[in-house]
Amino acid sequence: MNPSLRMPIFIFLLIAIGIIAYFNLTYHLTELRWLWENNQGEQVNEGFILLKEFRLPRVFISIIAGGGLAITGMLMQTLFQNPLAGPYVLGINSGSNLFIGISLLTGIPFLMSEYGMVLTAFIGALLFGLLILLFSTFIKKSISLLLIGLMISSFTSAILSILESSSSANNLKSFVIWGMGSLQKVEFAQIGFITITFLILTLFSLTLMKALNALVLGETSASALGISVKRERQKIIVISSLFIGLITAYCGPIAFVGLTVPNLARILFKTQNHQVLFFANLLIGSFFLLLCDSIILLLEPYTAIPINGITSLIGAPMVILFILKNGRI
Amino acid sequence: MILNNLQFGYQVPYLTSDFLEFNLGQAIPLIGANGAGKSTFLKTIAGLIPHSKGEIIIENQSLTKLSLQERSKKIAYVPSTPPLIDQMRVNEYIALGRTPFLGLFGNLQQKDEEIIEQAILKLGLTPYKERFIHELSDGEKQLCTLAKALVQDAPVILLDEPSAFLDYANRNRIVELFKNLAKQENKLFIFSTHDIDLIDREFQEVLYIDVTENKLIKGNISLNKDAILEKAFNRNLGSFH
Repeated sequence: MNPSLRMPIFIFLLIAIGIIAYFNLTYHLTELRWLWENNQGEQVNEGFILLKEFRLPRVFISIIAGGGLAITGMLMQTLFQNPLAGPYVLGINSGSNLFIGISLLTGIPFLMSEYGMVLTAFIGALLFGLLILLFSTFIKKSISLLLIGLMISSFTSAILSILESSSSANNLKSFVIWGMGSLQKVEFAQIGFITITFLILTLFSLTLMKALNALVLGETSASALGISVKRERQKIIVISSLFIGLITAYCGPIAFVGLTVPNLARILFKTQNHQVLFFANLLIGSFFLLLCDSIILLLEPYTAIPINGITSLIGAPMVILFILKNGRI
Repeated sequence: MILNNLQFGYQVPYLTSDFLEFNLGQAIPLIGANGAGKSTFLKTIAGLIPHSKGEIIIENQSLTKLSLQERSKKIAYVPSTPPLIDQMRVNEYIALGRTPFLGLFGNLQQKDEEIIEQAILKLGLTPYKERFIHELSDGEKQLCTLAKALVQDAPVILLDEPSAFLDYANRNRIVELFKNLAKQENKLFIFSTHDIDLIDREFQEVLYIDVTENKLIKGNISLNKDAILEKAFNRNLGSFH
């Protein structure tokens, strides 16, 4: 795409996000807009409650999670110089999954609380991020690194299935449901905390763009341009883990956004300038997850589809398409 | 640039140098056998590999005392492989040379844009600047890497085998360009190369690595060609090593 078209596309995406967000907020809500009296005799607008307590947090977390996952995917892909990298493929998600799994399956009360979940998801993501970082210093070939990520995922699944087989029915149920991913777990009251955390992380990731641009040339060239590759690499891993920890704690695992969207952004915007790609990923990621949620809303009368199912159903064929189109990855 | 009793390399025996002084405004070829340590030398000067002893001084400043970022304002380094990047335009690529000068968020300022524009103009890359780097020929790519090194605004530019991927005519052209740019911009160009005949025609001073003594030496190739080649390759040039 011609660079002069970037701004119009950004504006178009913003408008599209607005339209889908409006749709997701209000779809089928009009029928519910009746007033009823609660037991104190006050008139309550049920539609409004539904909007505030269910639809708004859902649209909000779609935007946050979509944008955050896409940015994390971009960070990983540039750091490992591999378009197949992503929090999921590299096994960073597995860290959160494992730790959340331990929390939910053992049923320790603190770990099951809101901040306990955020904390465990973050620690899990960070530990596994550091593990991948450690491997990446020994292993230069990215395909080997991806295979290691795959092995890490299998390894954690094995631990989780052992835990599952010996946990109580209730704990098992809550973990299985968590594993499907959900955009409906956030409450209105949590929006403030999530927004602030997200904004801080976003601001920090903006300071990584200079290093990411140089890293496209390879680590040697980036060093020759004055970038301290080791330090920037650590920052990228920590910020990615924080993003993943935050999103995984509130939504469960959501696959393929972090892998598909950054590739789509690069193909669409035809640039390696990460200042442009950053906003492209943020917007396309939000748009993508909102769209997936619309599909869930539309199909709700017929069947309940978990968000993880939809993102994979759309994301996986798109990645195959990218590989076919490029001839390589 | 001054090299003072430098000792460098990955392992024993280390390479060494005596006191060597280089003036700005000059282009100097670096010759030596495969594996003698040409790339190691260039990377050491660029600060990508630590050296074990001695000093590197540019514009009266010892490089060891500088941060990586400060150092990259003194020395631009161009690796031997041409850029293999998808989806990157020529002007975007050249702009990366400004990295050491950018602020926290990495935004290009008006001044950076001007410097980039000048380099594009100087190397005749104006028709290519909106094109993608992967669409260019190896010769055009080499000009882009040179432009990127120029906008880095460093007094010293190091190039690792810049002519390796170039055809005969372009090899002559790029060496000519180094000499001219060094003079015009008052910079020091050091580039490793295997084009002995071309160097012999175009240059008097060369840097070479004496493989018998593991030493970096500056010599006059127009006066002692045979002696230099003997020491640099440690063979009569007939046998393949």
